[in-house]
Amino acid sequence: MTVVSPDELLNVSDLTVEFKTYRGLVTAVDGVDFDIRRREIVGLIGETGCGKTVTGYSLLRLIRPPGRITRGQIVFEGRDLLAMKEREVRAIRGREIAMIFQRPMSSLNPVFAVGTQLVDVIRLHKTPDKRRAHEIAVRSLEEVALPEPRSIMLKRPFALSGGMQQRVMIAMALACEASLLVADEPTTALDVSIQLQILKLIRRFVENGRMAVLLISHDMSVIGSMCDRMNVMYAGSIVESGPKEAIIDHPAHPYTKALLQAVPEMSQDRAQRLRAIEGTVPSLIHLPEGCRFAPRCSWASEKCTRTFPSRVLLEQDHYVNCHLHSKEAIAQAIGQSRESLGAGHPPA
Amino acid sequence: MVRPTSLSRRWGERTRYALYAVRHSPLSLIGFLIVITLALVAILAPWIAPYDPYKLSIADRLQPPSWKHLAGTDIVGRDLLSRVIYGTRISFLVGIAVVAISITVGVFLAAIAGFYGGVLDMVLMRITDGFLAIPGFALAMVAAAVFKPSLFNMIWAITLVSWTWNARIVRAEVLRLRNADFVLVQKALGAGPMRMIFLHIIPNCMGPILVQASLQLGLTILASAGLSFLGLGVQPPLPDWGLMVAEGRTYLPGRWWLVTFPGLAIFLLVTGFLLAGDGIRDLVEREVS
Repeated sequence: MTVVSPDELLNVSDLTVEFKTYRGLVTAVDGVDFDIRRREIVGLIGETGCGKTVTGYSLLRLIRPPGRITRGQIVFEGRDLLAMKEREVRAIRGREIAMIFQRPMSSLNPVFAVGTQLVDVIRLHKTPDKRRAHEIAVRSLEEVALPEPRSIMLKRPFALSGGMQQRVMIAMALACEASLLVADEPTTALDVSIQLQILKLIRRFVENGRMAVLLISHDMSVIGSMCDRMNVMYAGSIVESGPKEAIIDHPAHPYTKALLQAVPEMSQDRAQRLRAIEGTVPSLIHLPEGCRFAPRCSWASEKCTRTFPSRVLLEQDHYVNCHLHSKEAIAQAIGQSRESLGAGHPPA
Repeated sequence: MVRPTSLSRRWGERTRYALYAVRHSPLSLIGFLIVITLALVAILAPWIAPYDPYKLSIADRLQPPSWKHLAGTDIVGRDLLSRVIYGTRISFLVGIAVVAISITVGVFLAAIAGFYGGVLDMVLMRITDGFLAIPGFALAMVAAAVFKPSLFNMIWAITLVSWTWNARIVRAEVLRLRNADFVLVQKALGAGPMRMIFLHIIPNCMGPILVQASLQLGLTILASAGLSFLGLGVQPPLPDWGLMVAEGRTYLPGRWWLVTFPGLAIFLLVTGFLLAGDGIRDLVEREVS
């Protein structure tokens, strides 16, 4: 279906992750497809509980029981991560795919100096030589714009702020020269001014280096300002994907439209209320049979509640899973407009 | 390099912090002082003991305390003070050996059980529960009696019953830390299970382990005195405190010094370790909060 381009770094297809809970089988991620090319930032956006983080964890095979990846392929530089032995995956973690997490304040071991931890990781992946590792550590701390890296290296995590700790985490990923960085809500726990700095930092490394980023966030403004391409996720599956501009300028899926309308803008009239999306996310145990968004969608037809919409190509790289854009729907719309033309009414 | 000076500065900070904490709990300060003093006595025994602890002198037997023999002499005329001083060495030896082995075993088993969970955890913890179900001192008595009573066998007997508590305590900590964010981060950075357990989880359990170690030192010395008193531990002519109490008890109440001085020594060292343990617990808890 998709043509593998030489630029392709990661290709995820039909990824499905299930959690066995006492209330039943939870399908947190259901048949997700997306890809990441070299040196680009790909966004994964969706509301809390839609499966973004689980998708991110799957890329490094970090899903813990009761969760399990039950289907799919994750092909990273030609190798299927899901077919690998744990040992082989371990060699990829940190070295080729690095990850930064939502809570930088608890991402570092509280009992050791941050330098020790940084040097440890570098020695694990880059060089066993202590002195060399120390130099690389200092250099990567400089790169993430931490002042006086040598004195910071001697500090224990509690002596650093959340933003500094996240910089240290990014330095770990940089020091090992990973080609893909999975950033799971890297700025959610930080305050707004620091958010921007961290995002700029990540952006700079993508522009200067050979790193690609999967940016996971629920924040449309973060995704909108950072990404080249984006995937919109809802209740465990991707509903729309494509270049950022295309999606923001003419969103195709009703959920994407609703998400964009829920973003406040500075220019917006103060009297105008933000549009909230009616209803709630469906339970992942009893998923609706048809389109998952149908119960909350104002355009939903009977077909939407019956059959799951397949992927439709709208334009270059822009895909949507929605019956409103299926061939039949378009054909019908064209037919209707012809009829109305025949009846002498001009189309609206 | 910047490193050495900064490191020493950090050590200075830690020492100041420890001193601050100890000053605010005078009882633990007393505990630390007792332990440090007795440790010095043990190390310097050959220089501070006035007589050879093994030298018999029938002519001087059962002398009450005097300027010549500060703690009197025993039934075969050995200087009691010298014997109590040398006894410090045996007590420290037993305490440190037992605690070192039982902490190592307990921590290792608990870390493996807690980290991997599942069947392995169940099997290891049921074995631990089995040991906990039998009264410790009784089991130690049996173990010591089955083999030929000796200093060495007593160490094994006490170890056999004391590792279980360590395993229980450490397993609870490992279960808590197994799902900590920084452990997941380490996994995401390519750490294997051994690296996660020994480099990241166990160093974070050091607080409870230290508290447990110091309390266990005290209890071990008490247990070893008990076993030796019953003849199941250290054998004559070694100058063991429990053994000395046993040897002297038939001469009570007339020859009071035979039991009093070794008994006092046991009391002092055990109290010292228990108070120090409380002090360490305070330190650890304050550091956590």
